[in-house]
Amino acid sequence: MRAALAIAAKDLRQRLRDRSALILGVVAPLVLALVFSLTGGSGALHGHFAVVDEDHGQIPGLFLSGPMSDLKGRGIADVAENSSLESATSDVKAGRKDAVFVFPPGFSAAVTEGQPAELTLLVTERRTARTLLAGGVARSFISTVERTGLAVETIVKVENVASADLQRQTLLSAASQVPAPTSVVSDPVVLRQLSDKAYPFAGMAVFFVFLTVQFSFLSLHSERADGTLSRMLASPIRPRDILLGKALVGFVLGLSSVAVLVLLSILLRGASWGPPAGVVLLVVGVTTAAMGIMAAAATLAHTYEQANSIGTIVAVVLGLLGGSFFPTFLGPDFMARLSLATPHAWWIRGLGDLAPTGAGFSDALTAAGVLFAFGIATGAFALWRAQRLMSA
Amino acid sequence: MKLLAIALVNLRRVLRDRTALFFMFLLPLLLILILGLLFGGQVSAKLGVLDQDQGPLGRDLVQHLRTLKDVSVREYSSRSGLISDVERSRISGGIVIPEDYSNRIEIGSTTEVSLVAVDNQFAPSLRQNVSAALDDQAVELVAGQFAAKQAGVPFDTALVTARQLRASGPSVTLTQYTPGQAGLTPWGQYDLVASQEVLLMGFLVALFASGQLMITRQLGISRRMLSTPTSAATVILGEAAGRFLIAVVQAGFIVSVTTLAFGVRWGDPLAAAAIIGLFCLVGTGAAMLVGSVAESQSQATSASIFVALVIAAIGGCMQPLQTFPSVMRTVAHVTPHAWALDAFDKTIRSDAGLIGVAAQLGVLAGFAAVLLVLATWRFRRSLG
Repeated sequence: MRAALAIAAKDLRQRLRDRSALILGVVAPLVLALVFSLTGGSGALHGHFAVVDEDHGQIPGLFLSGPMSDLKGRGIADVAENSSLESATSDVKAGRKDAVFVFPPGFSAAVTEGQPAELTLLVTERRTARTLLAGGVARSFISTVERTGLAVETIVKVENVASADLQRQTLLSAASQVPAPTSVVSDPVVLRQLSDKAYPFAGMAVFFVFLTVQFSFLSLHSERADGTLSRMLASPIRPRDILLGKALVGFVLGLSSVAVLVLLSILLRGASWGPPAGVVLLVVGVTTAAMGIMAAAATLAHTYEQANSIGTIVAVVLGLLGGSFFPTFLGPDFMARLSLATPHAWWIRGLGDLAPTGAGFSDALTAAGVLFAFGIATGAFALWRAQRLMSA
Repeated sequence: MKLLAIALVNLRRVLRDRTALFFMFLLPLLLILILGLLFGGQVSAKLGVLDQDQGPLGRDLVQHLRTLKDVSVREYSSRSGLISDVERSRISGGIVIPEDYSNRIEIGSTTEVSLVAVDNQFAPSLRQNVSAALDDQAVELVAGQFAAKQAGVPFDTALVTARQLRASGPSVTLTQYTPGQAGLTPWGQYDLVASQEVLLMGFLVALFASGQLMITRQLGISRRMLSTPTSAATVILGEAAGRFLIAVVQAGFIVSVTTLAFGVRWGDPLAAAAIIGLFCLVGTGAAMLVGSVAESQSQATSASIFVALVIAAIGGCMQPLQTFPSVMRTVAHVTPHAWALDAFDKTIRSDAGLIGVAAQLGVLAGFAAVLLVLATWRFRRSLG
C-alpha cells in the first residue's frame, strides 16, 4: 500500500506540474460550460414583436388591445406598434425582432364584408419558442375574427334565406357573445431534468472526466516505453500496487475535477443540483465509470499513441451519444434510447431525478447503481488486460 | 524535394496509425450523422396527445392540432406514459382530451383540455399553440352551436354546414414566412452540420498532430535534420507542409463522402476548395504554434483538445451561429471558424463563387498568415 501511495504521489506531482490535469480537468470544461451557457438561449421567455398596421381599421386595434396587450401585461413580450414594413422586415432579418404581424390595407373591411383576408407573420429563420408563441397568437386571433362571420353564414345556409334578409349586424353582435366551448387548463409537472444553468456544467464535467482520468492509465504505457515500469517490476513492488497507484491518481483527479465543476457552477451561475448526498453518490459513480472505461480503453492498446487515440475516441463518441454537448431528447427516439448505453446519459438522468426537489432520490440511486456497474465491469476487464500487459 | 520528403513522412506517420485513421476519417462522419439526426431540418415542438374521448370531436381536435405549424403531434395511450415523457423532456408537453369532450360540446356545454407541461420558457408558447388549435376548432363549433340554437336545427346538421362553408368560402388566412430568404436554397438535413464538422474536426486533428511535432523536437529529430545539408527553412516548411497535407487529405475525404453518402452540398467547387484550403492553413499554423510552445506531449494533447473545442464552440461549430444571441454572434467572429461558416453559408445557400466569398477568404488568409509567422518564429527558436 505504501508503494501504491508513493507511485500515486509521484504521478500526481507530475500531472500537476505539467498542468495537463488542470487544463483538462477544470479549465477546459469550465470555459466550455460558460461558452455553452452564453450561446444557448436560456432564461425566461421574452419575445420581441412588432405590429405593422397598413389597414388603419378596427381589427388591428383589437389585436393590439387584446392579445398583444395581454402578452405585454404578462411580461413575455415587448411589442413595437406603428412600425413601418421596411424597418420591421429589416429587424426580423437582423434578428432584432422575433416576429412581425402585418395587417395589409383593407384587412378590416374584407373581414367585415365576409371577403378573404390575409394576415402576414414574418419570423426569424431559426424557429424558437418566441416564433412559436407568435404563430400561436396569430392563429388564435384569426380564429376569433373568423368565428362570428362563419356563425352568421351558417345561419344563412341552414335557414336557406338570403343574406340581406337577415339582420346581419344584430346576428354578428349576438354571435360574438357566444363563448368558446373549449378552453385549456394547465396541469403542471416537475421536470426531471437539470436546469439550463447546471446542464452545461454536468455535460462538460462528464465529458472531461473521461479525458482527465485517461492520463493516469496512459502513463502505464509511457513508463513501459521508458523502461521505468520494468525497473519497478524488478524491485520488490507488487504489480497490483503499481496498478493501484495509477488508479488512485485517476480517481483523485477525476473526482476533484467533477466536484470542482459542480461547486463552480453553484458559485458562478447559481446552479442547483439537489440533495448533496445524492450528488456526491453520482459524482463518485461517474468517476468510477470513467475510470473503468478509460482503463479498459488504455489496456486495449499496445503503445501510448494508440492508447491516447482509442481513449480520446471513446470519450468523444460516448460524450456525443450520451448528451454531453446536446440533450439527446432533442433528437429521434432511438437516439434517446441509444444514449442509455453510455454512463454520460445515466449521470445526467440521475442528476435530473435529483435536481428539482430531490423527489426522485430512489431513481437517482438506480442511475448511480448503473454508473458503478459500468465502472466495475469495465474495470475488471481492464485489470485482466493490465496484468497481461505488465507481464508481456 | 527535401521539403516534400519531410511532408510525406509526416503524412505517412499518420496514415499508418489505424486509430488515427479512425479519428480522422470515421469520427467526423459519425458526428455528421448524429448531429444531422439531432439538429438537421427545422426543430419543432413535440406535443403529446392522450385522447380519452375517442369521440368525433376529440378526433377532430387531434386533426386541428396536427395542422399547427412547427409542432409535431405524438399520440399516447396512457396518462402515466405521457407524464413520464414530459418529465424527461422527451416531449415539450402533452394534452389530455377528457372522456366526455364530444358529449359536452354536443349538448352545448363547455369543456376543458388539460395541458401537462413543465413551467419553463417553452410553456407559454406551447399553451398558446394548444389554444390556437382549440380556437381553430371552436370556429366551427361556435358556428354550429349558434346556428343550431337560432335556427332550431340539430347541432350535428349545423356543424356539417359550418364545416362545408369554412372549407369552401372566404376566410381569414395566415401567411408565415422569413424575409430575405427568396432565392436562398434551404439547408439540407446534413449541410450545416457537415460544414461545421469539417471545420471542427479538421482543426482538432491538425492540433492533435501538434503532439507529433513536439516529439520530433523532443527526440532531436529536427536538430539532426539540421545537421545534414538541410536549411532551417526547409525543415520548418516541411513540417508545416506535412500538417497541411494531413488536414487537406482529411477535409477532402469528408467532403467527398458526405457529398456521396449524405447528399451534402458544398456550393461552387472552387470557392469551397479555397475555403477549405485556407482553413487547413489556419489549422497548420495553430498546430505548429502549439507544437512549438508545448513542453510535453500530454501538455500538447490537452492544450489541443482545449483550444480546438473552445474555439469551435465560440465559432459556431457546435450550435448554429443563427441561434447565438447577437453579442455572441459578434464575438464568434474572433475565430476563423465563424468566417469559414459564413463563407459556406454563401456558397451553399446563395451559390456564391470565389468573388462572393472574397471577404471571408481574405480574413482566413489573414488568420493563416499571422499564425504561420508566429509558429515559424517559435519553432525556429525551439531549434536553437
